[in-house]
Amino acid sequence: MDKKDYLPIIGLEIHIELKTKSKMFCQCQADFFGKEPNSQVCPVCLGLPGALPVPNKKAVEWTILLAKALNCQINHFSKFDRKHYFYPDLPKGYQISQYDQPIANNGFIKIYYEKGLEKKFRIRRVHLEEDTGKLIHQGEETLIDFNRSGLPLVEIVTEPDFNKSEDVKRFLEELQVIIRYLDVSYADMEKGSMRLEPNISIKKLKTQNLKLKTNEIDNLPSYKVEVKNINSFRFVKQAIDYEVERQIKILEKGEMPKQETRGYDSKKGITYSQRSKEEADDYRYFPEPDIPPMVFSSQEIERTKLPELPYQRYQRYLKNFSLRQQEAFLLTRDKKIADFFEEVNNKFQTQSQKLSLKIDNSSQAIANLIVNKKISLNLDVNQFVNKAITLLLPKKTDKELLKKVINKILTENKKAVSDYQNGKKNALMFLVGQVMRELKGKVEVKEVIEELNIRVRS
Amino acid sequence: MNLLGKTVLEIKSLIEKKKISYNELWEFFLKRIKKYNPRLNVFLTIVDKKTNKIPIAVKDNFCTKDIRTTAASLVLDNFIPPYESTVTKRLIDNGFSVIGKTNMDAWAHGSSTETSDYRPTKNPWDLERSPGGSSGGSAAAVISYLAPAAIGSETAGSIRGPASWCGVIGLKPTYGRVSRYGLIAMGSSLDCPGPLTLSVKDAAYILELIAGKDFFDATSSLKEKEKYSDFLNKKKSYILGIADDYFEGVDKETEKKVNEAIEIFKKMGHRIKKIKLLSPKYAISVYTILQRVEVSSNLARYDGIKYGNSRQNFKEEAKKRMMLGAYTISFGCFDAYYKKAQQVRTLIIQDFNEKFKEVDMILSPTMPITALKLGEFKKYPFFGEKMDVLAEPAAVAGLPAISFPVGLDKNNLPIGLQLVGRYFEEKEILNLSYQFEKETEFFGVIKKGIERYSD
Amino acid sequence: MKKKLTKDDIYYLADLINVSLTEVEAESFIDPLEKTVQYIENLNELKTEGVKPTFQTTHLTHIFFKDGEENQRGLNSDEVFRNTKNKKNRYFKIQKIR
Repeated sequence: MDKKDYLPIIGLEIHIELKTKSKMFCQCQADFFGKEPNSQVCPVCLGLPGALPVPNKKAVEWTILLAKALNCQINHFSKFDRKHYFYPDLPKGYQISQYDQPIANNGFIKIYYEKGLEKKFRIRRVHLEEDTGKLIHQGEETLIDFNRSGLPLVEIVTEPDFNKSEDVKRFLEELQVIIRYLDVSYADMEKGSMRLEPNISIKKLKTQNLKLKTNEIDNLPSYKVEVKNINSFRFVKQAIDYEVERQIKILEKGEMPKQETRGYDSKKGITYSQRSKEEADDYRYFPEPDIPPMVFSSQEIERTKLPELPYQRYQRYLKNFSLRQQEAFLLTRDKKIADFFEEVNNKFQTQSQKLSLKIDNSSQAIANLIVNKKISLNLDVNQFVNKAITLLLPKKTDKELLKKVINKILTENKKAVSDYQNGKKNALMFLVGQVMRELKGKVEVKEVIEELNIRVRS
Repeated sequence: MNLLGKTVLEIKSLIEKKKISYNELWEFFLKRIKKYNPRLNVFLTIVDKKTNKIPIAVKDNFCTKDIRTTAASLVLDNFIPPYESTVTKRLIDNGFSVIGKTNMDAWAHGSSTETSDYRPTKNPWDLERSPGGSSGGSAAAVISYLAPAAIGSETAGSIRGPASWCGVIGLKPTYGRVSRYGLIAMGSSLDCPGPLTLSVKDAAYILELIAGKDFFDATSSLKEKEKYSDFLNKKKSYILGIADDYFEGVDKETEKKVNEAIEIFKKMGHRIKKIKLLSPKYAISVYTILQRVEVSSNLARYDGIKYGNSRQNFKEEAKKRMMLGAYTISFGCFDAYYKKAQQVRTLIIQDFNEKFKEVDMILSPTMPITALKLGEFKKYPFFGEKMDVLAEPAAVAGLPAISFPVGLDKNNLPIGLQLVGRYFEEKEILNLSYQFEKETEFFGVIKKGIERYSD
Repeated sequence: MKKKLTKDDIYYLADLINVSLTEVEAESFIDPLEKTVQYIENLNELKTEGVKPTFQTTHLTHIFFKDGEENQRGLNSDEVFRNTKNKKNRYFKIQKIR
């Protein structure tokens, strides 16, 4: 059997921890980093008898903001539901989540590839829920810390539109940048503020059908495997590739992969079985009676204004600054750096005008300086601009000094000169380097090469 | 100074006039509790500490900070809440102090206080009978004068029922009028904290203290609370609705006394109008489904890890309710039961709203019979839902209601009458109850009850 | 939703709500649960097509709290652990789960 007969069908379930000050349903501090275990808890997030939840307005607003950035439809009517299951990290025996009326539905992210290729990955829903406590396994015991219990989590579920692990990685990267632009979460996979659970299955195809996109294929495979515990960007591709391989091997034997939950072991690079999921869990969802529903007016939804998003900024950089794709892309990966670039570039333009300096493609040059880390980004704007001016200014060559230094270098490096005259091209660059060093870079390389060429040939 | 039978407001006045000290007050009640509690089993926890506040009895499903709270279940046998419920906080901030936590049906599952893990409370009128439930301990505390007033909670009949069987006043406010924060949840969309008292003035006074928006309870109403006490003296006439359905299957003596009360209302200038309401049997089904689902969910947090004892300590009644609750929203049953129940709930509410265009209040007996003997409940499959049949429609709709005594039957057991009002019209039902109290003194029922416990 | 409840159903439900039942208990629950289910079927006598369900009698909507509000309910270590024996250092402790 040829691998080309198998099409991976991958859907993603992503959880984003919002960086609100308070938790989702109580006023406990949400930031639990470095805090003593079970020190940021109250009757509500600890699930004490009689405690009641009240939702955090900012968490809801940020969910709408994020959903809008993902091109979703915001539902006018939304509510919370209870999702029941028993687990020690779930203090109430149910999680307050959203079931049939989430905050948003039907969005997408477009990923742009080279040569004008773009792919659209659809988002099925965006909803809001609370996080559980943390379990730590120690020998024969399990320890529980409820500091994280009740933190706001946004859950993003995509359609099974992914067929390649590379696409999943790009999607997540773009999603991460968008989220950080909105500044609603740190979206850090290693720290757990962004969590991924891909659902993976494989479809057997006749080779000619491989050109079809997922949403044109009628029957999706009858099983899917959920993979948990992928806690770094590095492992995303590895975990998915491994699981795809594993499933293909089973199919090649003529068998069906089991519907189950598997964990990813990054040390061994494998997935291992965690829980069989023959039937769907009976979560017994029903509307949360302690929280009135949310009704969003059209005005309220309109009022949520999106800032400029990464892809829009990228396009603006191509158009307004004539940047190359590569630098435009790299700069816009981090909003702070992009902001810095624009500030610095602005100042640079102003300064250049004042000093009557003429530098071609200055924006591109500034972009290069930043991307290649030629100047420290820790400097403030003025310091950076001054350094940039120094570096980018065409250097006025002192012809007399140049001739003097060249004479000196040629005298001191007779072997190199004869090497070059005998055909060793590298020797010239060596001499150029020596000259540049002597002149402390205060000369245009072009001119040094020109002069040297004239002198050694003669 | 003979304190026996003095209402909260009377005590307040005596204290202010320095006719009695707080020390004497507490001595008085603590002595009585010591004497009568062993035979009545009213209190599960007694707070043996005198304070400069008026003592009040609180049902043991309100979380009282640093005071043991069990919901009458062994699951919480040694639970000491680290926080205060809003209701008790408001009472404490306004001159009250908890003298003890009263017995109840475990988790409020019941109408007789017999499902308590700590044995039933006895009806002070007849120790072989039930005081009603689930706020049986609270009602008994008041009529035996072990406290001048008590706080109970009602999901469907749990304040009104015991008030009726013990011969006191029991007020169930509109759902959302009083905060549920700190009330151990039973039916989240139904639970209402409320007072049980010896006078209507006391009920109005306590309601004023505990009602109002609470930021810790998202379902507490944004409507301003009112000056219920001030409104008591207004001379108002009302149109009272009577539905035949609500008199069906009612005991003859109960019917007689309630009809006598109706005649008195007529004489006082109020109008009586016959109305036709949806049969209460639908409210029973709606209530059964909603309450079981919410109970099943609300009891999921008792896993014995952070607090409490293992789930093996749940008894038969709790287990049955949780299982039925799980059943009606699993197996793909959601639409057939839960959603259907919520739709019928809408019909019940619409029905009430229609009738409230013609009448101001609806009048009926509180319970179909007087206090049952302990153990008699086992005859009923829903463990007392049928006892609450007259209470359930108003409960399901979230309407306010009050019960007060209108006489005794031939066994010397109290008979209660209930008034159901429009949403947030507590002041109207209190007003009419006050008028009736002034006119009849409730036929001396309360006085008789307390005199049974004069030392 | 007409199906007779079996003992297996009872055990399934007990599992869902995380309580264990003895055989005797499971047996004894079938009848009362059946009876209750039969009773609540009376709701089918009423027409509810197009009727909106009432999840909340308050008609409240859009109730929130402001992010960053002062926390008046934080619990200290004593308060957190006073009701349990299952603790180790500052954690809740249970027997290892898979």
